[in-house]
Amino acid sequence: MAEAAAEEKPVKRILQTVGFDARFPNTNQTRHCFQSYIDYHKCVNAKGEDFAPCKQFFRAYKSLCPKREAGKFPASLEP
Amino acid sequence: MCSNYLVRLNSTPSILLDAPAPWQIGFQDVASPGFEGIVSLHDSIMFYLILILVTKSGIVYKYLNHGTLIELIWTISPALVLIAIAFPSFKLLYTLDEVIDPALTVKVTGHQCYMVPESDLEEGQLRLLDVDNRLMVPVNTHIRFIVTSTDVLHDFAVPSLGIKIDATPGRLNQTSALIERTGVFYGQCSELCGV
Amino acid sequence: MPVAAITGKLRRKIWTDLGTSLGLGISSAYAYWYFYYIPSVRRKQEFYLKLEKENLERAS
Repeated sequence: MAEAAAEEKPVKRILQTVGFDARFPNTNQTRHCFQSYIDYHKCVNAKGEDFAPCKQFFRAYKSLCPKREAGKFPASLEP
Repeated sequence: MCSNYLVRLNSTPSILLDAPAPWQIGFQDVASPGFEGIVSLHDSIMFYLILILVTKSGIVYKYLNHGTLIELIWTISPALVLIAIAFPSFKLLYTLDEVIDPALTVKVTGHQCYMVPESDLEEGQLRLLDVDNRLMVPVNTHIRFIVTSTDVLHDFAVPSLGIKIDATPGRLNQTSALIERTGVFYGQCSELCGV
Repeated sequence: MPVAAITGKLRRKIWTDLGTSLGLGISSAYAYWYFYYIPSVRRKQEFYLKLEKENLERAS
């Protein structure tokens, strides 16, 4: 497996996630998830689904909020 | 993995142990800068601890039944020592809390409860430490862990990464690690689940 | 036969006792430092140096 990996050209991937947010400097990130979720839906309601800046909130809540058991979030909004 | 701890301690590339060994009394091998800080703080404090413990180990005050001065000395100087320990440890504590620029987020969710059938166990195995699906994360990458729980209190802990954080239902706790070398790092729930 | 009052035992021995205990304490602390802590740090640094060299070789 190591040889195969050496022969292939190394793929450059960029890993990205929500950075530090000065509103949530603590260990407790519950509000960070909550606020991003609310902000995303406010943003979508105000500007529409295709408004690119909303994606930032979407990515934030997607990477922070835990996956819920079925039924807690609408299926379409499942993080 | 389960080789004798002392043998492992003396062999040259000794940084292999990422699971507890039988009769282990020290730390597991360091794999992240945070844990490096914790270990070096502990070792520096141990220097003064050994100094104090050996010094007052019965030679000095064996004749003394009462003495105001010596009482004052051995009340005030430990207080000063505690203050001296507090500063570096607060510094470390608040440094460990910072999660500034992580490259990826790992969501950790605690559940009750898993069991291993006894027929699957063999002597020398890691038993409950091992899992069937291991989490793979990249090295030299700043990783954020978002820790929560679905039912009762748990605690996400990986000793060689210096991670130990409560998993609380309804709350997302954040911690981070930067793994400096490859390895299989073992950890266990470090809370009496639900207590 | 009266025995002379027993005095000065503390005074005579206190400096020796203080000296021995401080000496023992400081020397055992330094023994820990130089025979346990410093070697463990060196082992760690050697390991990471080796790792880094291997990574550089692989990259080049």
